[in-house]
Amino acid sequence: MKNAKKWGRLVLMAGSGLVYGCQPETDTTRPEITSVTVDGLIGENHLVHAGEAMQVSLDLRDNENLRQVKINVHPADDGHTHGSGSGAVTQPNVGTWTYSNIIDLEGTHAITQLSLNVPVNIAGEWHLEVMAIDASGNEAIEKVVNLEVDNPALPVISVITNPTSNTEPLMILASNPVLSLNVAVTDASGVDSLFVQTTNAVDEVVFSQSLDATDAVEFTSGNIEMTFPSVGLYNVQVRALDVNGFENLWVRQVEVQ
Amino acid sequence: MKKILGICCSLWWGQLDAQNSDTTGVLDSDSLHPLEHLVISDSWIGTTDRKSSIDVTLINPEDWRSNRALSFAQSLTFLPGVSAQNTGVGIARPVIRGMSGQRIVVIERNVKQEGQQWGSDHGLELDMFTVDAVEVLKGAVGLMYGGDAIGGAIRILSPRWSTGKWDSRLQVLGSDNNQERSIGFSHQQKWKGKKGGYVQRVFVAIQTKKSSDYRLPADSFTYLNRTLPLNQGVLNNTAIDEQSALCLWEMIHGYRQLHHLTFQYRWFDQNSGLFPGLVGIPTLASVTSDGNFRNIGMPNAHVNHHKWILQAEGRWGNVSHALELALQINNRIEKSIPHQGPYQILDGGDEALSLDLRDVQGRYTVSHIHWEASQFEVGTSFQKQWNSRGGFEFLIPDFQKNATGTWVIWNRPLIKHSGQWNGGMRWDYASYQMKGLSQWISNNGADMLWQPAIGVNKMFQGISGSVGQSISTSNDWHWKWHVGRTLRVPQASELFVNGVHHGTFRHEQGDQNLTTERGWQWDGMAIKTHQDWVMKCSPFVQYYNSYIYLSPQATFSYLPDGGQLYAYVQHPVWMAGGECSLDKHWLPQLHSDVSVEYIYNYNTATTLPLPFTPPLQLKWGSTYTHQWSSRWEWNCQFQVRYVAAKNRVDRNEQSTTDYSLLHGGMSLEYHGKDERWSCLWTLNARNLTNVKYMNNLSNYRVLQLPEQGRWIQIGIEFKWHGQK
Repeated sequence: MKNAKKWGRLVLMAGSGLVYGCQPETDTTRPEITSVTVDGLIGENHLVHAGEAMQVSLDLRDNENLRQVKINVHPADDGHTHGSGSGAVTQPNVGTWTYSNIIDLEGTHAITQLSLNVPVNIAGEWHLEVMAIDASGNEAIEKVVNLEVDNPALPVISVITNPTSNTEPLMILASNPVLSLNVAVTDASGVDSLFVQTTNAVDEVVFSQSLDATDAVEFTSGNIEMTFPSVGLYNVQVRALDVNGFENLWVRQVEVQ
Repeated sequence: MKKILGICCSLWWGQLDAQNSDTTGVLDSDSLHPLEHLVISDSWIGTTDRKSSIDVTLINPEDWRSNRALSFAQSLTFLPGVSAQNTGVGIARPVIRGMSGQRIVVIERNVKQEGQQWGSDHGLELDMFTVDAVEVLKGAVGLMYGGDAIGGAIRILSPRWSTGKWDSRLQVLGSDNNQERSIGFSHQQKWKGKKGGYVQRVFVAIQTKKSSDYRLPADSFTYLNRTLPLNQGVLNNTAIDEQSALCLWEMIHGYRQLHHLTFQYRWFDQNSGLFPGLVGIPTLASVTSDGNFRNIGMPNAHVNHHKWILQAEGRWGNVSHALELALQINNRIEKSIPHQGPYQILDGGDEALSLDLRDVQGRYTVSHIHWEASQFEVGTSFQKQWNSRGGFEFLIPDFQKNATGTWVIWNRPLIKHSGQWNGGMRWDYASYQMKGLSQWISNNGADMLWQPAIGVNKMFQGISGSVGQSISTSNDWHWKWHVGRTLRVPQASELFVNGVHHGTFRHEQGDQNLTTERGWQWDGMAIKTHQDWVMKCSPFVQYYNSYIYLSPQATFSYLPDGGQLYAYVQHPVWMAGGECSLDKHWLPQLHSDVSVEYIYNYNTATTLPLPFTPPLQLKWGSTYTHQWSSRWEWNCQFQVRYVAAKNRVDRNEQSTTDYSLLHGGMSLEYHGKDERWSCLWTLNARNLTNVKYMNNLSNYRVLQLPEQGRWIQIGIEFKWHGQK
């Protein structure tokens, strides 16, 4: 009897630790971004043109009530992905383009349309990111589409290196640490100038040269020769500016071994 | 092994051994030893406070050493009901029964450790070398330490007294994975007064620790919905450089009446790299290693903490008086490159966030006031804080806080059984004076005045109380229960925070309209002892009318590097659960312990659980100790920890799958002639099977980053003792 009392006390204490509650239904269902359309097309990759307006249409749904959608445009040339894709970096973007907008929504279904102006002086890869929240605070799985910005108004840069290499970075032997560049730039409105700059791993300039292109539609630099001071990783940049102020960029990494 | 069931007032780290010739008869004073431990077995399961209805677990230096982990908080996680909230490796804060930060206080000499503990990524400014032993108090201990202790308290115990005239200790540790190297040295010198009237000591300990970028079993991470690769699993720029020191002068005078005077200074300095992928918008360039794993580049966080404590205790007649005065200076500076984006702070410089906290505390108690069979303690405390901010980011504003509390605690022996009634009431008052802030930012190229904080004054006050029993119904059963009405004053961050907190990866927003957090708590405990085993069960039930927590909102942050907005809200919440432990001695040299812990919580407003709730855990460990001779002693131990899947989660919180971890350790100790010196070799290993797992309490879980893999630490420790 004595033991039963003791164990009974223990069970009572443990039992009182349990909480029973009726759990009414709560909305934990995420809203859904059904589709993201760019210029009337659905897909992961889109080609858009600098200086033109891009028409974006978003289709969103929720089981109860939508609240907000956030649209964001950010550069994609840094190697990041959004869960899929290679994230490989080829050439850095020309110019900057950022856009962020939060739009209020309501109802179980919403179609949001917006027109985004693509800046005139950019080219490269961007992401259009769409996020949504419902009235309960549930967050949708985001949707991201790739935007390739084409810009025929920018100067076109073509570079021939010596030594040549398809590898990244371009390898040069320390016994002969010399790189030659032959740059050709074409621009319908005329090329204003050309600028070549090489920096080391800590961003110190080890070579730079400016050339006046005299507003020529086609301009060739001739042989530009640079000698690297020591082994290490370098960044070689060629920038071409046209008479309208549009700029294009060519970048190559060089490793001296 | 014969168990000892009795009163062991002398368990205060050999203090009586040290002074039994000069202060015997007065050193068993409760004022020096606020918790008298009922020792049932020689493991931590069998320790509690026989007089208090609070559940207290004592971790002695041996347990502390053999469970050494990467941080102070992680070293406590072998205890049931205790977890750690990690931010990477080496930075963690303790979690007791699912509560942490503003609900758990760390107490040293009755002084609350005060830093920027509101940030769940901010670690505890304490190292492991200068801490000798700790006590973990579970449940509501707000009566003693104020509302900030409604989840429990961790009490740092004073370093044990030297048994001789002096002793010294040198410890060198090294670990793989993050290449941690540490060296610590301590020395104490003891003097006895004439006729044994007093004894005093000086204790000095210093430690330095460095670790490199650490590796994870992962090849990518995701932040702000962007996935980036991790080269060889290395988290770039996560090296840590840490120094700490403890200086202590202590005098006990017991010729006629006991007087105890202590002056202590503690210093902690930590410079840690912050993984660049988590600050601002992550880019591949920022997370690529610079090839140097030991350097601390940008971004980084520097924490500097100073703590001075003056403690005086004395007994006149039957009444004890105690006074504690403390000053703490906590400085946290985070540096990073200003973020690019549509919104940009126009101030230059690389100081992203500077938080400078000055804290002054005082506490005066009068105890052992007898009235008939009852005994009373009355006390009052005050606290004054000044917080100033700087940098181009904003999280919490400049503010001043004034707080005071007055309490009375009552104890009365039971009539029928051996045991005590405990109870008490406390009145707390706190006020904030917050300064507003306006800052110019560039919004898509246009200058804009941004006002993240407006100036406001807030005041809170209220009464809390509790009552409980501690009963020994027989030689082998001991019971406790404790019920309390709790009150917690909202912290400055809960009221005023507004900005992207990079440590938690979200825009956090306070609410100035929050009221005090009120609740009811019931804790129970039962200990059953047997010839060679001891069992302990500690259930609890809690209800909060107005529980404050960070909740996801139905709105996005307007800041470029902020996703969904998280705001502090108050909801009614139920919590229940408990811990059960069993300790069995198979042989005199071999014992095992097994424990299970579970927490259930329920937010009645959302009908969902609270975020960051620890899952069900089972812990099983065994220790084998063998003494070859009077000189050689060998110890081997392991612990298996099973953590259940966590699928019952808050809104937008990610679930985690179950996992099992194996930890182990060995030590070998050699005692020199006449016990004048000893040498101890240790080997500690965690996650021996290199399991890749997600910890639902880790801040990095939201980045899809697993916890650290296998971690092995070796150490050697020399001790020298002076003559008795």
